[in-house]
Amino acid sequence: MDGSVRLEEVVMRFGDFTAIDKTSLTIGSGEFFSFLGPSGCGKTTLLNMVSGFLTPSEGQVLIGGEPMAGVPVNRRPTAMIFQNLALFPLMTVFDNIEFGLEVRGVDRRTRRATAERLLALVALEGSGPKRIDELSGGQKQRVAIARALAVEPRVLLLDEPLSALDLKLRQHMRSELKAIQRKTGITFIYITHDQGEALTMSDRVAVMSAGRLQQVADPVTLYRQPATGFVAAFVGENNRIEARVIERLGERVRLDAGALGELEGRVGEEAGLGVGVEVALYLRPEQLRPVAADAGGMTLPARVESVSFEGAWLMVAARLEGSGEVLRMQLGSEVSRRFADALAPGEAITLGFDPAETVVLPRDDGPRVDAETGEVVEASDEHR
Amino acid sequence: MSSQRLLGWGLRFYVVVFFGYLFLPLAIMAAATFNDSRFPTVTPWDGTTLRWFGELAEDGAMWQALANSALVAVGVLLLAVPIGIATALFLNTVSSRAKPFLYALILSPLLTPGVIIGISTLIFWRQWGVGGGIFLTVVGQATFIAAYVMLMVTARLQRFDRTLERAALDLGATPWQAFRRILLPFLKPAILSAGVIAFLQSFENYNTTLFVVGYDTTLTVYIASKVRTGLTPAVNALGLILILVTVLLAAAYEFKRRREAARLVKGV
Repeated sequence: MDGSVRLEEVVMRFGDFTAIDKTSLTIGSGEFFSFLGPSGCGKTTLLNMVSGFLTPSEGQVLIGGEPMAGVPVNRRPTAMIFQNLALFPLMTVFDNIEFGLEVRGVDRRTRRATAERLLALVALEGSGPKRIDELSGGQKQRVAIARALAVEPRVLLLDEPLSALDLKLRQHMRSELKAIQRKTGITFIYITHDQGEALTMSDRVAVMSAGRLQQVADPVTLYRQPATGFVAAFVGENNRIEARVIERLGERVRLDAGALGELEGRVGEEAGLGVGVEVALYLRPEQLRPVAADAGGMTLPARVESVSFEGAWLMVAARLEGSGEVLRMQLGSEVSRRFADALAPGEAITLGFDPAETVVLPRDDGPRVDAETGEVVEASDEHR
Repeated sequence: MSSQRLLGWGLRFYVVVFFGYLFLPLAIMAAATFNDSRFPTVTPWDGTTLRWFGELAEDGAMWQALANSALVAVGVLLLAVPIGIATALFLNTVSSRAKPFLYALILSPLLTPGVIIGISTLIFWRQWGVGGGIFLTVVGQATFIAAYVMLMVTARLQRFDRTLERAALDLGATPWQAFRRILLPFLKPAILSAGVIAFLQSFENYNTTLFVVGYDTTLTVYIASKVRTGLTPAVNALGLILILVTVLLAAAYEFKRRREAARLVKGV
């Protein structure tokens, strides 16, 4: 069964507002694909175009190679798991799961057999006769999954289904969802603003911002080689130093970072890094480390601002002597023990990094992510 | 005496007066049923009797009026409830600026005096050669009773989670199936209440009915006519019976509701 989804130059406008700018994308059959982005970026709009709740203003959606134009919601080979789950409160668990089969005219015995099988799949055997309000949050989640799987969709659409759960349960459901996806082989399209969910479960992730795809890649590539400043700032944590290109050295680029002197970084994007271009050098907190003041390579003299204990690691905020910017440095317990003396607020410290682990990208004018809260500063309204 | 105790006594006094105000007329009316007097009164007490029940039973015109009232009420129920539901559903989908206007338009029969509704119904239908009678009574009453139904259904509809409907469609239901299996069961309690209210509103209506009932007669119109031609305690007997029936039905409903609530608590 071909569960591939193709978006061909789809555009979605609501009046003057363009929720989705011309977007093309192919999601493979059986893939676990996530759309990751802040609220208002258009990811829910995309999902609704696939499910049929919205008709694209331009372009078309194909599922399994078939154009979906004119195919209403109830005839599409998709099933959605809603953010609030949308379980039918007046029905039992059985009736909820069997609903999609009932409206298709499947006989009672077959329906019940399917429901029993799916309840076993989601580890809820024996809960069939229960009412929805007798279930816990995690159980409701599973019923919603079973109900969606009952109609044997080729594509399962998940709209932030874990956002209502507490942290422990959320992490548990991640692995469970992934396991169900592997077992069933159904294409999963997952919408989330939680990068942890997207990175841990997905085969590929599309990062979205302001109605555009920023980057489509597997989680490792997304983290190591962000294609835009937005991705670099939104996925994981990143320190950002503004600079200007002096010279290209193959895979590397030499930068003039003003008061910080000359620095080197790894080329993140071939095209946009000509000499003289304004760029940003991105440094992950875990790639910064304390070094001796006279060490070679890339070094940044700084002064410790604060140290916070995070269990498995320490998070050190250090103010650069040159520019006054604060960088965050994440240290594993071993390193932090070795440098225990230097890690007190007010102490001088030298930060070192390997240029090969950095990324240099053209400075983009797109939405900025607030380093403190992780929220996008210029978020537009959520349009569905 | 402390001010708190004074307040306590004041409250008790108020409650007694309040319930006296509500129920004393009913008690006197009921008592008059058993007075062996030609007039519905308790003073003077001319001896205790049950004969007014007998006279009531023999009053053929009254029984005919009662049957008519019931017929009209059922007719109104069948006409006003679907109209009220449909209007509520329609208004719920309207999001334009016309909504408050439409809302006011549909509620206007509630604010219009019943007499005016009666007269205008009569005038309107006379153009098509339809005169007063049972049919016109049903139509006339339904105009404003449908608005009650609409209000009650709308109140429930506003608590409906629309994603449930979307979920049903997404799972393959046709719009009709989604309505019948998801929305309608949700609205059921409101629809049942609206049905009861519609029936009672119709049954007790006088103002509108008087103008559109023509040569037929309903219970309220019949009783009013008796006031002019000479009221006997037989009417009190009828009132007593209606009160008892109402109380019994209300008690039965409350009993059933409590049993269901208890079952829910036990989680059976």
